[in-house]
This record gives sequence, structure tokens and C-alpha cells, in this order.
Amino acid sequence: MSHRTAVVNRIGLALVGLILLVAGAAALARGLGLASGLLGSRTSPVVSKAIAAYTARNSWFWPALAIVALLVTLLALRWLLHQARTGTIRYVNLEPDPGHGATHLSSRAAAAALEDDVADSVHQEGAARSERVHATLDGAPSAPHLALAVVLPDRADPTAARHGIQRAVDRLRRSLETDRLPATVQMHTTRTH
Amino acid sequence: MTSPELHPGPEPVPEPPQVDERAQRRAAARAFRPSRKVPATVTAVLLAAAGLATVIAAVAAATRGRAQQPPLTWLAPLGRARWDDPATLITAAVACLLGLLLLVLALTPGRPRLIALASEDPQTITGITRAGLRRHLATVAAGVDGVSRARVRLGRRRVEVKAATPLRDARELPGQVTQAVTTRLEELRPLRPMRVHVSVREREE
Repeated sequence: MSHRTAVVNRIGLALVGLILLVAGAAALARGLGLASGLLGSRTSPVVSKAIAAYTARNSWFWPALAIVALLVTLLALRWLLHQARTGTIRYVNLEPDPGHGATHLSSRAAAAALEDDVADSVHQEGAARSERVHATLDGAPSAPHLALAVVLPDRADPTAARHGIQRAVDRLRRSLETDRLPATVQMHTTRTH
Repeated sequence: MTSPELHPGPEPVPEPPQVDERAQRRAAARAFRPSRKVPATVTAVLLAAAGLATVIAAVAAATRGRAQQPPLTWLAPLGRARWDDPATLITAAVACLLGLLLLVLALTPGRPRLIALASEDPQTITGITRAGLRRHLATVAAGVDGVSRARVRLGRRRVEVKAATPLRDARELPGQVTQAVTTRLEELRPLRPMRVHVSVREREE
């Protein structure tokens, strides 16, 4: 889950909401005659003769409207595609100094190794074996972030499971030779009896 | 923006916090805040559809007279509409309400997707799903001797346990269940403390 998607969504919703609210309120005020001095008469048609004459006189009006509407459509489609983004990275950059060349590690391989390690160490800590472990790396290749989802049986001791998870994450940090690997751990339980 | 809880309530803090709990709460609130994917998807689809309809109408209007094409009969009532028509008023009111709804969705933090738990490692944010915590605490409550079935409901800062027992004399049971659930909750250490309420019902077998 990318944090950027959340920010984009909230900005988009706020913009569309604000436009709808202001336009709706203005139309409502005019229709009810609340501000006839400012907005005009409530009995006049929505598409007035002046507007009709203006669009007929200026040949650029309809093409310009078409272009603006096209831009809005493309923006909306881009926003839509943003929802499918997970932010997952394909590799982790292990060499912090670009002068020393590049060392890339497949993030799928690192995640798979961690998944196995979590499953084992949760088991060793005395909690029942975890039902499912899923790890992904997102963020930037040089500053990855770990997202870990662990499903435990509902009878498992969650404290022991958390110790096991923490130990496995520490081991991953050590093997990547980095101190900085922020992690988000999501736990869930399932019925097992 | 969620303001971090400054007064965590009268509950005792189980262990001395090694990490700044306020910073953790803020980070967890950020990580587990809903990303509004469903309303964003719906709005984006509708916006794209409205944009496309406008493009088609504008292109039709621009090329009118130049090419043979069917007249846009469905647009005709729009040309006759007046500001005080009921249809116009209803459309405006609906737009107003929709706009208000979208603004509320955009500006309120929303219910967190997970319940944040305190963690020893400052780089790790840990959370448990609501359903996961509910199921686990129900199992803990059902593990108390004399409890035949237990159901758990989660409020914002409240855990409600409903236990059933076949025992005739169940005076001590509520205390025992409260003890068991509270102990487990203290081990899990939710960043926002939760109080436990237990009610026990005697059930005829």
C-alpha cells in the first residue's frame, strides 16, 4: 500500500468535492433567488441568449471546451490507474556509494527468504506455526520499506509471535547490511478449530 | 489530520515505554489511515465519463453544419431549463450534497484499517486487524474455565466481551474473564488503551 496513493486520493477527492459544492451552492442560490443582485434573476433560462450568442459568435469556443474536457478525462484516467499501483520495487540497492558500482538484490528473493524466516522463528518462539506470511518491499531501491503481513492461528500467543517476527526482521536488516529498514507489520488471526 | 492522543486515560501503562509513544502513535495513524481507494475509484470513473461526454458534445457542436449528423435531441431540454425549475434545483442540491460528502471523505482521517500496537523497535509499526483482534480475544475469553462461548465487539477504545456459561453460579466468572482478556491486551499493548467490559449470560444446556 503506497502512501502516495492515499495523498493523491485525498487531494483529488477534496478538489472534486470543492468544485461540486461551490457550483451546486451557487446554482441553488440562484434558483431560490437568494442572491439575485449578485447572480441574476431566478426565472431566466440556464443557457441564456447571451451565452448562446457568445458560443455562436466565437468559433473557438467548442474546440476549446473539447480540449479542456479531454484533459479532465485524461487526468481522471491517470488518477484511476494510480489506484492499481502497489509501489513494490523489483530490486534493492545494496551499495550506498555509486562510486563503487552497483549491487542489486532481487527484492522478491529477499522477501521470500524473510517469509520463510518469519514462519520458522514464529514457530520456534513457541507460538503455533503461522498460517500465512507475505512480505513485500516498496519505497525506493536505495531506501526500501518492508511491508509484512502475518496470519496467525487465533490460539497462537501473539507476544511470542511478535518477538519471532522482530527477530526475523532484525536478521534481514543484518543480511542487507543496513540499519535503516522501516517496516510495517500487519497481523491477522484465523479460526483454526 | 489526526491529533495524537495527549491524555491516554487512566489506564496504567504496562511496561516503561522505550520508544516515544506519541511519535509511534502518529506514525501508526499515518500508516493505517484508510487511503480512500473506493471513493477515489468511483469519483475517477464518473469524472472520466463526464469528461468524455463533454468531449463528444463539444465536438458535435463544433462540427455542426459542416457534416451530416443526427441532431443531439437529448440536449434540447437543457436549452429550455430555467434556474428555478425543480429539475435544476434538484440537480444543484445533489451536487451540493455530493461535494460535501467528498470533502468529508477527503478531510476526515477515517477509521484506521488496523489497531496500532506499541513496538520496541522504533523503525517498526505493528498493527492487528480488527477482526483478528476480535477473534483472538474471543478465543482467550472462551479459554476461561466455565465459559462455553464468547463473543467480542470492538469499539474505539472499548472491548466488549459477551460470554455464555452453563454454570448455575457464575458470580466469579466476569472477574476471571476480565482478568484474562485484560492480561492479553496488556501483552499486546495497543497504542490507544482499551477498556474491557464483560457480561456473562447463564445459558440452559
